[in-house]
Amino acid sequence: MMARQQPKATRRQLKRHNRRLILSHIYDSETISRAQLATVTGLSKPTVSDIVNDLIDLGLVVEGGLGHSSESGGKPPRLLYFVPESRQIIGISLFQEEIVGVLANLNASLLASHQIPISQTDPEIVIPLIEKAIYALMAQSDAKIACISIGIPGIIDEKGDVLRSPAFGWEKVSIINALKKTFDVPIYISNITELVIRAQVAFGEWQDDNHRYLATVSIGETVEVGTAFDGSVFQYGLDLSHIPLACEPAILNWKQLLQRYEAIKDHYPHSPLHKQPLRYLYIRSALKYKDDLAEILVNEISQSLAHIFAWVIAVGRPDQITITGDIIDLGDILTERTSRYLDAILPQESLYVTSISRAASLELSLLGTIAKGLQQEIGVL
Amino acid sequence: MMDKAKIAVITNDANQVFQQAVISGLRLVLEPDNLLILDAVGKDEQNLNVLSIDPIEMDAFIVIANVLSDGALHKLQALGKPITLVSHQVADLSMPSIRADSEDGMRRLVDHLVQCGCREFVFISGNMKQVDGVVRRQVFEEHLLRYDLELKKTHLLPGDFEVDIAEQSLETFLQLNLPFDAILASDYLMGVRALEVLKRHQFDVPHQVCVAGFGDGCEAVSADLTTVSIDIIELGERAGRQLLAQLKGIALIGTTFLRTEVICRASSC
Repeated sequence: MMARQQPKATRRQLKRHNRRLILSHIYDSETISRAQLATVTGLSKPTVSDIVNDLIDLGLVVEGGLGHSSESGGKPPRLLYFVPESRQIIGISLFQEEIVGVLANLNASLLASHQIPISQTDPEIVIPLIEKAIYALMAQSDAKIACISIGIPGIIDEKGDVLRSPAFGWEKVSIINALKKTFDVPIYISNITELVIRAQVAFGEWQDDNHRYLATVSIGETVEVGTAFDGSVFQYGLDLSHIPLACEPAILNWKQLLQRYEAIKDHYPHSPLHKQPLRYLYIRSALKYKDDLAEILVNEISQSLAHIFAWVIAVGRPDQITITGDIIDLGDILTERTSRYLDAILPQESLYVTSISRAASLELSLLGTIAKGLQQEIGVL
Repeated sequence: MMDKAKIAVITNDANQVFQQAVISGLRLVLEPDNLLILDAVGKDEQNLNVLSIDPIEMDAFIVIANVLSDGALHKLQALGKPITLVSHQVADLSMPSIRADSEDGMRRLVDHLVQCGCREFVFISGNMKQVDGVVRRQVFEEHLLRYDLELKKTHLLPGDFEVDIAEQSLETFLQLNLPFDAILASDYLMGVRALEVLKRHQFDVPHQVCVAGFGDGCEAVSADLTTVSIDIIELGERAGRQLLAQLKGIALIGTTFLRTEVICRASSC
């Protein structure tokens, strides 16, 4: 079979690649000289110099103090510094009840956040609210906006159109086209679980160990699985809430939990869960008092989760599975019971490498929007 | 040359520490291009009639905390002019607001005290008519549940953001002789007063009891109180920016939040 020929890079693409290469080295170093950049990138000194001058003109890099001369003597080199305040990124995460946005510097330090509640999920209502969140964060910005990065649950195509979002009830919604009419900056739309795992890879405990295989299971109104291997992130945005599981009843998403609660609550009239609207945190609290209803719900959730985990482990045997979403409010008991059910489903040797952890999805998805913006627009991380 | 926009800053005490700092931040952003006019309503007079300015002559409004009632805010909104609320929020009104991220700050303060080994908390609550007072207490109680801890009813003390009320509540609580190993106050001034009360009763802080308060200021620094700090001047600056965007014709809604930071001092581990 003939090997598929790679198209040749154009001069413009090459220049862009070299610029990103140099910028990422400056970003990763506290300080670095032009000569050191030439050594680590393999680019010629004149090429490095031209690109560095461009980056200085753009305000992304500044020259600072002097470094040490080389062993052969000569003038000490001028050191270069990345300027995280030179641009800002707006990240937006869409949840069913609210839009949450952040304004961040290029070192991902968050400057301000903005929240707008959502009462209806109709795109004609939600898109203008996204615009308002962006405007509110732009009002707080004191640097040029490098890009806007948005996370949505569901299947997103390569152009950034939402093909399907069960959480919002959307089919083929082009948020990106609507926003491009209003904002003259690059806009990226991604699946929210992809962003969660992107943040874990970029800023989490595995950031220096990209060879790990990570999986994230996001549980909210829908259930999505994302994976990362060798620093690359994979996500298809499929809602796994309704895949057949070898357990009854299957309780994965929030709606299924509410339905189950409604179906059996009358058998437990004294449960403390009836005192306030159902939340994972209150289920956990009720467990402390040996509440039978809470026990049943947690066992059924853990059992269903164990079946999803079994699929994930069987397919790829990840080093770690992270659970995100409000469900993590169930605490250690969720991971302990899920692990116990997993032991019964999968042979022990399949499990020994996989650890299970929990992480807050809101913070991670927002950090993920910033990570995506930094990777796509600045070429770092 | 365009006339300067007349911006009314509505307070109930422009010399009070918090309001003074907000106004400093507002001045940094809004002056000299705009004209800032301070006007105060009395502590218990949350209506527009007591203002010395005529709202119709103003171009925009900054309203600090809950100095105006919801009804008065409704009337102000009906004028159709830009409004920014500082440290306040009204659920059924679509006015934009600026607040410190009390939720995040309170969670981080609880995290810190739990890491110090505290398990038996006393909470001195703020004014439950103010959003910050309500949110801080709610988030505190919820976050304790994440550590499988609970706030006992006896350990929830009224403070109302007034140091004298906080002191009185704590004195009454101490007479009950109930076990506790941490006091978290809904604002740092009540926290400072709590430290003074504990000292008077010869408690060993932080070995016997850890104390922390929300917000930060020179009183907290002098008392060596652990706090979660909010940059109140920045709160004012960001409110000014939000109002400027509205003056440019951009319709805003929702709440902008500022990050907070835990400042560990000698009153905790």
